[in-house]
Amino acid sequence: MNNSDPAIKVVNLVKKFGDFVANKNLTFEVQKGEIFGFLGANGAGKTTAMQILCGISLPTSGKVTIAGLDLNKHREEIKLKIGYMSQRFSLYDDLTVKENFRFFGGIYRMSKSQIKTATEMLLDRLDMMDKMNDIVGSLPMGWKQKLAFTIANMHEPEIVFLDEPTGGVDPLTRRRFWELIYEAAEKGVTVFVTTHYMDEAEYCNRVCIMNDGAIVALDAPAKLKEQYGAANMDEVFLKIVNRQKK
Amino acid sequence: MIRFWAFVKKEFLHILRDRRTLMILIGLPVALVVLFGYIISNEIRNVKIAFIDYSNDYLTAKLRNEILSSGYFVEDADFLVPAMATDQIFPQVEYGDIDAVFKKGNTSVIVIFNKDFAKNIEREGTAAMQIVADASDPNTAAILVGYIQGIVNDFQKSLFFSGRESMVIDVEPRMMFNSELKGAYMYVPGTIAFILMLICAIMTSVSITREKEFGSMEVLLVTPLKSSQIILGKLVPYVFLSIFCSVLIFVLGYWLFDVPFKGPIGVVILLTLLFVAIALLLGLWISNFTKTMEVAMTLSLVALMLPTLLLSGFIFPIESMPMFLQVLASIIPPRYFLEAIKTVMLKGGELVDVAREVAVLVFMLSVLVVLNIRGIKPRLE
Repeated sequence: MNNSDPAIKVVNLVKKFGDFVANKNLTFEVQKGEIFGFLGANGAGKTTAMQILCGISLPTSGKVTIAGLDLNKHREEIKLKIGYMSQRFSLYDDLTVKENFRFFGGIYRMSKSQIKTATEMLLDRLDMMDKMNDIVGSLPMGWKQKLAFTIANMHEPEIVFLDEPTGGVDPLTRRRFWELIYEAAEKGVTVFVTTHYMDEAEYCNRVCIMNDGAIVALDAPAKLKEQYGAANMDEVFLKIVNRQKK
Repeated sequence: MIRFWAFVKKEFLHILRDRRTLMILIGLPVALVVLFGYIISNEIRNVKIAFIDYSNDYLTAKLRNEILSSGYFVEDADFLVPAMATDQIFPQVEYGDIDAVFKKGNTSVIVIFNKDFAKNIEREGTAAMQIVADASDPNTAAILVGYIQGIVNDFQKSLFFSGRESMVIDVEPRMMFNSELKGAYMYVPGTIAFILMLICAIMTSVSITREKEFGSMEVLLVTPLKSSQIILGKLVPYVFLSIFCSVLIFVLGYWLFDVPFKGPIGVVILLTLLFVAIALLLGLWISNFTKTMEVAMTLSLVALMLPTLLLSGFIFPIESMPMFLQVLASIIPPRYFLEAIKTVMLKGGELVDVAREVAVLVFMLSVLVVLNIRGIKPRLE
């Protein structure tokens, strides 16, 4: 893959469930190392689009290229290059922190010693070394999310997909979480994140706003605010959505 | 394979971490076997019985012998009537003494033969006997009466008088369960069928729907794990657990309660594995069309556990069910498993003797394989 190639390239992506069109002709690119936000109300089609990009769901039509590989032809190779974390599920609650690392390391074919080194290094960075043998269920939500993000990155993927990763935590904890995202992006990892928190949208390099299955705006947060004459992303979002309704 | 084993290891951890469920899964078969074992072995075996024989002829002596040699009864020494000793003074217990005998608290059943028992059978084809049971424990009393009636039934079948095909001793069987006397040990295969259904069907379907409900299935599908690896990985730990529990039940039954193990062990293993496979596929099938643990659990309870308990012949004899229940019973797998295990374990049957049951089970297994292959939704829609 060339350095100038986009990490994700989507052309005319359509997803239909029967008569319902969840994704209408999506076309966009995400650059390598970019933090790309996918915004929209519930039911706007964010999660559907993300599931297609992750290979959980098949597109009805359109062309998707992930890490330079065609999604239709190289599904298995792509899986090794991506990481995934969703709000609904962070980690196995009944396993210890270490066992979670071991399991996810194991399914990416990491060796025992690799897993051990990675676990220690990553936990040390999170300042959670003493939690190694704790049951994940006993940890606070914010910690679990950080752990889940770290584990999604353990096999050093080129792209991580985060599906509303910070649901149910306070803004301060969200901010801490975003520090981890910045760290990853600095190392060249592409971050694709869906959210409905507008404060999070401000943290993204570029955001794509979806409404009714279609992309209605796509630019850097600062430029969007300028374009719509809004003070923050919240206003931008409301203005766009209201204009759509008319 | 590394991936697969990582997954299996995780599944084992889930099972081991959930101590309460694990204790139930291991504790329940032990409790059931011990419970059934004690009820049947101690209460129904070595029951004190007394005979009042007003006839004391060759037939009553034979019948007394049959009852005593069944292994369930011992003659109460206090009221021993020496067999075949026609010159002895009898009866030793008078009608009026029955009350006193029971009050002493040792004797549970008294069998009374009327006068001229053999003579009446030979001449008129009918004779009367009476069974008096201590019904302060009504269940046990009913079982005991049932057993004696069963023995008498068998006995009269062995009698053959020229020109008479009809029953010669009029008995009205009123057995609560165990229509066959030999079925007293049915609780061992019955418990196995019950536990295997519990472990294989319920646990498997719940464990798969749990991943769906918590959303971890999505995460697993994004990883390089194949869906076949996920499903097999789910099944493997439960195969181990069910084999462990089956062995536990057999061993407990055999060592603690002398449950006979007459047939070849290989056939029993084959039958058990066959049943494990069927139960696993049933659980898997249920998890195909259920999305939450609660639905999966309820569905398995109603569709699998209840029939296993009620319709398999474990508790109620199938022969005495109404027609439509008999039809229903004929399509549930545990019924054939129980029948086959009974034949092999208790009657010492070989593989040929259970060929029909094995064939039915193999057929059911293949139907389930097909159903599962068609039912498992392709992960990509």
